[in-house]
Amino acid sequence: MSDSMHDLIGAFYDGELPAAEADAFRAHLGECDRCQAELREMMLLSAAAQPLATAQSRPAAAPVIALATRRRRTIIAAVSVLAVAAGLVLAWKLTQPKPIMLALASARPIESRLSVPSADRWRPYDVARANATASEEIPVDTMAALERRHDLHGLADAYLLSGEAARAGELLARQPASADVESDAAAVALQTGDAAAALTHATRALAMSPGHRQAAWNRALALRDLGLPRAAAAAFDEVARRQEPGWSSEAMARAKSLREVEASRDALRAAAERAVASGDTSDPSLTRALPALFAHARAVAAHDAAHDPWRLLDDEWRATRVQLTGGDAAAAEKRAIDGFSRALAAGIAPGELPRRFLLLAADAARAGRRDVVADAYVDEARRLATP
Amino acid sequence: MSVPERQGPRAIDAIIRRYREVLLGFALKLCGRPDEAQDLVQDAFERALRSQMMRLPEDELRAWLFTVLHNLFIDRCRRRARGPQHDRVDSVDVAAREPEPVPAWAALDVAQVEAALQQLDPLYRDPFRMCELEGLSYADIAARLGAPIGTIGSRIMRARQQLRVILQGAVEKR
Repeated sequence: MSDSMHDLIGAFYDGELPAAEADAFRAHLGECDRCQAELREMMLLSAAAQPLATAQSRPAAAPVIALATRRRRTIIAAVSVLAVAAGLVLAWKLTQPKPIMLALASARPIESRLSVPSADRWRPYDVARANATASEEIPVDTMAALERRHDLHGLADAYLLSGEAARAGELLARQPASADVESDAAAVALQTGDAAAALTHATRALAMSPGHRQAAWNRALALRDLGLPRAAAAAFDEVARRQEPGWSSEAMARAKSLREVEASRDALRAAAERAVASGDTSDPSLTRALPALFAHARAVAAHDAAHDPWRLLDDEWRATRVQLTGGDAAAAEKRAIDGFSRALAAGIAPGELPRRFLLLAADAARAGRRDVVADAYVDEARRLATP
Repeated sequence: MSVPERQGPRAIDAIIRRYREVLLGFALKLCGRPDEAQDLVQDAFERALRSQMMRLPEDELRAWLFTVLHNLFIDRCRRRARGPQHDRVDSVDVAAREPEPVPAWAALDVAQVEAALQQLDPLYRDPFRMCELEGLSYADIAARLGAPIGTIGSRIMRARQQLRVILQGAVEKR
């Protein structure tokens, strides 16, 4: 086997290889003494370092235990006796935690991911049901058990799964801030159609816990809902790289279809811009394809006064777009920020600004700018939206 | 924690619960499939229970569990490399070799490991910490450090090599 295969061991161990390469590496491992020995050393080092990891991690793990059922406790108690009497092997099998399973149906009713582990089992997303009322039946005694245990976070997730996003949101708002709570708040916001809030919550979660899987997923959905398919696809790519069964392949499929959306948008973009330039925005197919762009055009049409703040804003937006496509990105960004500051000074309601920034971000992405720029705009929008 | 305390079933429960998630995380990274990961971890605990390894001091037990996990995983890879006719013959595992003894450096206590970590150049230590202890991806680490992603993997491997040497040295000094 070639040297290059040996060199992959670090990336394999750290979960950085794409699935196909990881499989190839496993096959290699079966035959390579050198890599086997190296892997053993790496695992022993992990074993030695593991108490440090536990020491610096995560109060967020608490809900796992909180979700344990009474049944589990009984089993553990029984097993403790069995372990001695009837054989230790059996002990392990029976002490497997039996958390209250929230994700029992074969399909999941919501697109987002939830932080409570028993609710985060991957199941195919049930598009058909989700379009009606997204819900799954959570047995009443499950709810009652969660409530008895004061597991409000678990209860919030249960409400969200059963289609009661508002109640879930109320419960989460009363929880102490944590990455898990923020990530689930993003899920609630996605469910209620508030993509900007979803992005804010998911971004906060990731700031608290950069590797947070559910938050990364929810952030990707928020970006998509904000009309940023390119950024959303990149975010799903990131999720896919974690190689979580089910979630990973769904992320890949989502990234792929978002890129298709992006491509078809690109094709429509030229026609749309011509329509905007001529002032004729009546073509319904274009309107459907580019709602953000046409909402913008309508806003321009509705606010035509010479010193109207909207106009000021839109002029800046247009100028920025020219510069973006012309390639002078740094100047375009500076000009956009200046323009928005002036628009704000001229009296545009701060609440409108995030939306404008998001349009700009969408445009930056369309113009082939790196997603990180789009993200910077989103961040700026978020900053402005926070009182 | 003293040794006799750990012999009771309650202590065994505690150990299983403490290490189950940890081992599952590693097993999942190795196998890439949750069902296989579950099997591996279950096998590892069964072996630990059978062989009375649960009586070992905790630092040693942990290293031993990781070693068993490694061996079970390698056995799987070997079986797969040999071809599908041997797949799913779980009895092969039962005969699998007993793990070789755990090297002393892998069972040092947490203070000694932290001290060793402090001796590393931050250039290598920081990405290692983020990867190994915080579970960040190379991309996240690169973003946090403002470093090119292509350098992260090799820095982490460098940290691992140096750390092993330092830990080995700490054992010899004892």
